[in-house]
Amino acid sequence: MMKRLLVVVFALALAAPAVEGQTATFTGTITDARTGAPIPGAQVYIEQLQRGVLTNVDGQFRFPELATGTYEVRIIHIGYRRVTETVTISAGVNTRDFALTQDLIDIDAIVVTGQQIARQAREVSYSISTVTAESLTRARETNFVNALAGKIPGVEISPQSGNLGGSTRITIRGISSLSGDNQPLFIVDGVPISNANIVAGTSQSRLTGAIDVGNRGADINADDIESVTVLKGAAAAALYGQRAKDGVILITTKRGQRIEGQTVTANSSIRVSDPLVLPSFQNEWAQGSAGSYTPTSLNGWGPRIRGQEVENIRGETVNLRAHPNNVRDFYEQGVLTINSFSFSSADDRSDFRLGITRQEESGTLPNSRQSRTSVSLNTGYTLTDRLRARMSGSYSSTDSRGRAVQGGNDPNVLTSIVNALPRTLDIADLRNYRNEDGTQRALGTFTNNPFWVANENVFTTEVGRVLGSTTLEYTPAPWMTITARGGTDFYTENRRNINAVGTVDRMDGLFSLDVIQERQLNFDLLAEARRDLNEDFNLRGILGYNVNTTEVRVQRNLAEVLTVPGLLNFANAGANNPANSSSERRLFGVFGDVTLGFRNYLFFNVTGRNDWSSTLPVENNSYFYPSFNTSFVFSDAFDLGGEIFSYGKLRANYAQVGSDEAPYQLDFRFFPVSSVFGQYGTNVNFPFGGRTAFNATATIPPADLKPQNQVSMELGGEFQFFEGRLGVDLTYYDIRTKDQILSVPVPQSTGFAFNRTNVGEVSNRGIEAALNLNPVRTAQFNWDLDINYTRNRNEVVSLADDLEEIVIQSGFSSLQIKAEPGTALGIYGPGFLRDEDTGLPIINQANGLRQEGPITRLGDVDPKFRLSFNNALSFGDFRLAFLIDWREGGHIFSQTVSTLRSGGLAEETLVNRDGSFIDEGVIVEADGTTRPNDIPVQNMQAFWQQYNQQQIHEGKVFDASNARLREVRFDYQLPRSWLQATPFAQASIGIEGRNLWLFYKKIPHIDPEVGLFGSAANGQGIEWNVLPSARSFGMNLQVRF
Amino acid sequence: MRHHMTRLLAVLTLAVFSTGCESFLDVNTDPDAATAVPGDLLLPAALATIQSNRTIEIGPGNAIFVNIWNSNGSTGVFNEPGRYILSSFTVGNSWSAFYGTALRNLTLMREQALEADPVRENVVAQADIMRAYVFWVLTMLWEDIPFTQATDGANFPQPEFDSQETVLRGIVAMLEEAVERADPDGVAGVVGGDLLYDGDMENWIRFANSLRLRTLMFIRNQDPSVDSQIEALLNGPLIREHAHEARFPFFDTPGNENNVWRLNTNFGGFTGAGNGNIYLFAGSDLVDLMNDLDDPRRATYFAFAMNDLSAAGGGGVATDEYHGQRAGVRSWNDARTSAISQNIFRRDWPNRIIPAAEVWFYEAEFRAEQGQLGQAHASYIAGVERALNFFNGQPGAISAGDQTAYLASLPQSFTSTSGALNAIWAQQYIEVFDRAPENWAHWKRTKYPALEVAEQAALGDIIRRYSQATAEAAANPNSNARVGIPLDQPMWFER
Repeated sequence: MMKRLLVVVFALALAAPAVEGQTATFTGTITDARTGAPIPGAQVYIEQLQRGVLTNVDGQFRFPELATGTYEVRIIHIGYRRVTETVTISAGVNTRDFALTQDLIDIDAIVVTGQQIARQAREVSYSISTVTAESLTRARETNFVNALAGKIPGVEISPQSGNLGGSTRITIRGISSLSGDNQPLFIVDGVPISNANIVAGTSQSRLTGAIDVGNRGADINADDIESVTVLKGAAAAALYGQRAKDGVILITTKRGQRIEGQTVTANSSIRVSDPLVLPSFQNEWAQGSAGSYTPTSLNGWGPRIRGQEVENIRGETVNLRAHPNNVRDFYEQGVLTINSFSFSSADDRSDFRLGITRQEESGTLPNSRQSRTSVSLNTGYTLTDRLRARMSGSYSSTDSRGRAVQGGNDPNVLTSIVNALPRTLDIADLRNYRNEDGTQRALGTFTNNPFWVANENVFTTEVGRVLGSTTLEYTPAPWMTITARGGTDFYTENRRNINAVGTVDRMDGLFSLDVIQERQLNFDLLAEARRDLNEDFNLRGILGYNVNTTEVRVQRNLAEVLTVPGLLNFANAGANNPANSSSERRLFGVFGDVTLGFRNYLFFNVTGRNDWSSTLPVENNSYFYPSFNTSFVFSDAFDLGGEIFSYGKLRANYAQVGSDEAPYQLDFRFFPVSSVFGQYGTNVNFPFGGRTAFNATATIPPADLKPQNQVSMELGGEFQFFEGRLGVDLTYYDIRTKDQILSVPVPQSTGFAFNRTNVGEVSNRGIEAALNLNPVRTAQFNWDLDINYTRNRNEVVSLADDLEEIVIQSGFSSLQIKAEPGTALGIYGPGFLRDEDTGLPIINQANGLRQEGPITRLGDVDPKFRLSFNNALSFGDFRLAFLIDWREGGHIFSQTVSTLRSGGLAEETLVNRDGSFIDEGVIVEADGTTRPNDIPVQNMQAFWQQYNQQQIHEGKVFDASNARLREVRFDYQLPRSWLQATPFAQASIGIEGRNLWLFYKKIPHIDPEVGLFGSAANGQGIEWNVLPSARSFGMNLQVRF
Repeated sequence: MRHHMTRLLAVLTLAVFSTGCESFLDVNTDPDAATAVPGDLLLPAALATIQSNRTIEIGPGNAIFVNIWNSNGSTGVFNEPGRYILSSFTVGNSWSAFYGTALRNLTLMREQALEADPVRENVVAQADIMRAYVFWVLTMLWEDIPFTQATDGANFPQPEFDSQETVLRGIVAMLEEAVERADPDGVAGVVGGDLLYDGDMENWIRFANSLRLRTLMFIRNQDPSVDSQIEALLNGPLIREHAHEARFPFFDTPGNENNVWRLNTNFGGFTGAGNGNIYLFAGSDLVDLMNDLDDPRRATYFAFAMNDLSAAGGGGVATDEYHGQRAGVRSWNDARTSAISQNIFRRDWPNRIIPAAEVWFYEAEFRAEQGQLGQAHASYIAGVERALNFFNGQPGAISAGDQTAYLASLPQSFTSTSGALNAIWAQQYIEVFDRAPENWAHWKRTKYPALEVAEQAALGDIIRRYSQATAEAAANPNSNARVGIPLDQPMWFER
């Protein structure tokens, strides 16, 4: 999985002029010494000629027109021991075969570090993890970020919902910034790109009528990725500057390879999906209250379902009966197809790869679809022996429709409508969502028909994105390389939200159109020099210069009161509320990086960077930060490598990284007002009576702002035993993020809400461990098992003076994510009123019910640990890979569970339905003494409604622990003999599945791996009517010809 | 080649550096916001924030607290005002609307006017009169509030809470000063952005004096020594006619309509039959009082029961009967309760602050308390007249004959102070129905009518106050003493 990475860069180094003289041909086959299987793609390199080729699918290589003579031939392939042999070539055809021995230790492993610089893994002084293409496309995801889950210690991947194209949050080594955005920097072929998650929805809120529009990093097509390297700490990121404070996702795209018979590849998947977890409902009780029937109630507190004759919600006389699958039947089976083609080739001077991928997906929600077409090109050319050029880029077009509205306080929140359907309601009865006159067949007065919402109130997005880079690499001397790289990322996203005329709570209809444009330009200039000072010491230095600009423009209009229903033209609206905003950030930085190596086992590295940012006060806009790193391969130094203990390396680093402010925060601003708030969606618009208006900022601008500063320390060791069949990689880190730039709440009675300032410190300390095992290895059967363990301890060390807490994110009704010094970020809200002595709830004497208590900490956001088991088994031509991912601890607030219970629809509300119940708790007597509760509740409806009362959150917070079978792939490599009569050189067929089996969880009714707030906010741990996550299963076919 | 490349790179590097670091980085000014605006542009958003909050946030809830309206469970989505259960949103939104938006912008507007040369005295007066009103609303909702140290974060980052007495007396002083500043013949104040009076300072002075009168009426519950100030005010300019009325307007234009009309429209809440709606209904205390008085405004205020009128024989009610619902009852399922009429829930129903009738009723009450029953009666009749003819020319207008008959049916003179007060307060309770927090405050001040605690109430008595806003509590330690006060604990001015 990790560390073994083929750097195709080196293929470029193979160009050299041909040698004149008597010619000969040199051919041969490269095979695996253990299995005898041919090895395609191995490099065969002739040292004297600086010339090399790659083997074809049959493992064969061929050098035509060689001069006769004696050559040093080197065979290199990832995962195998390097072979160097002297071969004498005589006139005619010379055949020589080589068998390579698998090298589990991979002493010569090369990793790509910051700025696309390849380094020996042994000299890297920080934890670095790489996921290869094979692992990413094992069971392909439309959002490649999800494919990283469970594969890298220290990296938390949190999909936010089952929405098609929903966002996935990535947290590397814990939440460091209280301000919200803790997402790592995404780099594609050396150029930073946007992973934005800009808030959407009619209310432009992550809470009210929230729509998850996805994280833009998902636009990267998994089939074009050669590898993803994750740089976790500040030390790894120094070369990228401040934007890398939360780590770097370093994506290297595929390049053309010179493998005969592998010019064209096709990779097709088809999968079906359905909700992974749906609530467990009771099916015995109808809608109503206290046991009596009310046709219009959307709950389960009515009478027992006995076939009795009643009037239904439409006034028709029916016999009551249960429809146990009415919620399941609302959802549909989603279908995903991914068809990917690539065309690639390479020769001595150039390489070329064109990739085309088309994804089409329909979701589990009726009328939800997403499609994406991606075209990518990566080509390099050696212009002279000193100058090389490369261009890589991609265009993607992504259209989606029918994302679910989530959160609350919006008439379109689908899961809250669907989960609340009375058990007696036949979903088929709702499918026809229109009356004969075209109006909506709503669910009573206050609730929309879910099929109306799904089919009429459709949210659509269209994203067109271009990203790419051009690199010129100049080698003035063999020891020096100068690289100039310019890149851009440009996308336009159109979002359209419709609430059709006739929607309950939006009866007059509305639609909004958002046009979002983001443009990023980046330029790097790097000079790299390598010199051997003497036999023992070598020196490598890098000097670099970087300019980066990012602009975001958002233009939107909300058109309300539509005259002609269905006509989405602004002029058709009674009221238009246009708004536009923009932001621009410019940065430049200079940096240096010097590494001193001693005998290839001891390395010292120092880096330094100075950034200048446009967003900071002029007097404080320049900031310098250094890092110090060392690595020591002690097994080489002390010559310890043996059969049992094969390799050992220790590493340590200390790094700082500074970071800036958001744009435009320094001025005292007055904003033109487009509307002022009115509860229940009744905003008052401007112009109001013909008047325009301005509103002064509620945030006091910062004075003397300093850059935020992160200081990190990391210690680690890599150990390999039994010739690499057991590998252990351990890391301890301590990251302190100080001078956080935050909007600190101030009393609103000052007239302002926030003061923008440097404040507080957050620490994240943790352990990461990776265990790589190869328990079975025979000619026929091989089993690789990688176990990853992550444990992070987050602590808010301090806040501003006098400040006891800061609300990081708030939900409805006093539900909050808060930072409180001395503890980790947590979920807070009013709990049950409890007796101090016994800790038991104090029961209300009058009704036997629990009562609202003070705001208290209800749970942790972070898990205790994460553990994953990544298995790859091969038996002959059969391969099986599967990933088990376990998260233990942490909590989640679930509004879905709460609503199911308070509505009497959840299975557990069956208990004591016919009778009563005495809750565990105490009664406080008049004299202050307590007695055990002996007051029965009036009925279970009263109990569950109070237990889940909107102001009491303790009963809605659950342990988020879970373990799942996250990915499975089983495939069969078709024997070559079968393919001989076909144009195919290689073919495999497989079955694959994602998120298949949630076999351990503590929260009822939902998959805890969901969130409301999207990837760009610190709101994990809150589930509020989120669409259930999906599981998918299907087939995959890969061919090369 | 090598030289070429080296030269090219050198040129490139120089080109980038020579653009100049500081000018390259000088892009930190928001192109979509202003860094200075005339104070005039700050007034409309402050006013719209106050009116939107009064209309839809505290609006229906305050009327429900004192059983003027009732909600049939529809407001149970977030809160249950009928049983005195507050929504934390309403509390937080209101605190933030009044302090966080209205007072911030009004204070900035005031500061700019004071810094102008010459000082824009009329703008300062307008800002101060509105600030006084906002503080009055705040103290009616929370009693003790930051006042003397409010909206001055530079000097008071954590404002202390002042007693209600301090706040009310401070409001009086603030208004007195504003009236002194105001000069109808001086340099114009805010005109275009003045949604109340289009810059008419004569009316602003009437508004300031009337608000002062109202505030003094609250103070005199505890301190009759302010009577001389009241006496003086009654002889000065006050809101005595509809043309003087202090009110925030709403408009017919889409997006500019009254919030409650918008709410009903959004949900399709208006019912064709009976001119009613499905959200808000009559409270029994108001209807019973109006039934007793055979008040012609019932047809203006209320629609007949929303349910099938043809079912008059089977659970419906006859068309000339009005019924209200007792506080705290929710989800009733009969066809008796009258809904609030579309005469009231209409697009341009204004958000009124002080109508003429209110001033006349204060005068009547004050005179009655002084034993001047004749003058009290004259003012009482003048108040009722204005309460009735307010609707002239509007939906739900009361015919001249009905107005005359009603006035004739009222007591033709007062014989005792207590009798006078009951008659006056009854009219005030009927008149103040649409104004929050005035309707709730009026009941707290007069305790008229005697309200029964709601069914299944969360409190032992009628709710008196909002709970402390959590955002303030989290950021201001001075707020701590205010947290946890029982919501039915009476305020300082109550007796």
